Amino acid sequence: MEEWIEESFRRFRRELLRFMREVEELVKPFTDVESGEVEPLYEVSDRPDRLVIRVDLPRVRGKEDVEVLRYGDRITIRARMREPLRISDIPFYSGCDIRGYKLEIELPSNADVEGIQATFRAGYLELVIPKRRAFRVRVE
Amino acid sequence: MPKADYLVVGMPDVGLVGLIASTYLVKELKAEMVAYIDSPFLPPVILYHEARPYPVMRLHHHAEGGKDYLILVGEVAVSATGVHSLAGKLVDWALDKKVSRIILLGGVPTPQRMKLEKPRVYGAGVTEDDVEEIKRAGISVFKEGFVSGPYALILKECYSRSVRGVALLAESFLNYPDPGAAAAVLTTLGELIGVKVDVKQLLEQAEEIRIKLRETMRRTMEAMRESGKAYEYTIPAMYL
Repeated sequence: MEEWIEESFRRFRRELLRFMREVEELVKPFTDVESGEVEPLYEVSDRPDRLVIRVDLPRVRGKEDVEVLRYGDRITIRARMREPLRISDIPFYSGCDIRGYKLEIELPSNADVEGIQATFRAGYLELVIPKRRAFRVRVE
Repeated sequence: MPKADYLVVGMPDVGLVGLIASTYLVKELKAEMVAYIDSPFLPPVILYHEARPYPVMRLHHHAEGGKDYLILVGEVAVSATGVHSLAGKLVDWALDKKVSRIILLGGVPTPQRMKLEKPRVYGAGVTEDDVEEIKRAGISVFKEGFVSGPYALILKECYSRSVRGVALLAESFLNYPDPGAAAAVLTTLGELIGVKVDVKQLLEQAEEIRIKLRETMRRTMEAMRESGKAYEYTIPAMYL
């Protein structure tokens, strides 16, 4: 087959997969009823030398209730609420107390995972992740 | 369906300021639902509250001091394709009800929000009289910048038909529910048109609201992405 046709198919397939992932994201709930953990809202800002991730953690008392774990290039954030939240009138949440938050984020390959700094203040967790500088390869 | 002097609109947008403010306003005033809006552009949902069904875009009525107020609560974001027809119909309908002014409750995103104890509220007026009134009430006038999304279209409809209208926009988070900004907008609404509500309870419930409206915020973000929200960070060429 002509190469450009193959490339078009590959591109189409990639687009389709991306679209399917987005649709899945849209219909999936952000609460794990079994564990009573919800996925918090967060935003990532990509600065030239660092990534800043800000996570909204209402009802979390202080830094002692926040845990940030790193496995390779994945970060897991867990936080416990001051007191559980009960939304038992809504069937999806019935019998479930929301106790805390869980968020998993995959970092890009240039993230300097050793240099991560985390600060918790007034219900917001901020992670600052420095970026590794590119290594220049000498051209002979 | 009663005639009204004011139409107050709260739709989900930046920081869900409009939705939080209008929901609280209706609750505090015990304003009864008198009508609703339906459109194929709204998602196929109906909501239940205290065992009663409620359409997602509702109009509530409140009378106070010889004035009649209609309050529009939009529970879900309208898709970008549907916003045009909605804005037109809403203004048509308001004129039909002899509404003399349309007040939009919302937010304007600011990266400094975390540092602000009391967010500032800007008033964007349609006619000269509106701007004068904003000034008289001691509210900061929205002087420069883009307004985007559903409110931009409602303001545009008001402008093209010379209908009086004001958008009250509180400095707010972009993508976190912001009850603090909603409280600021409600206080300003009281200064502008005299409907006063005590926002103490809203502020006390702030954390709970932030948790409960997470999902609504995410769905709203999807709609905001399509509606040219990024314009609000854009410096217009006219400003040069």
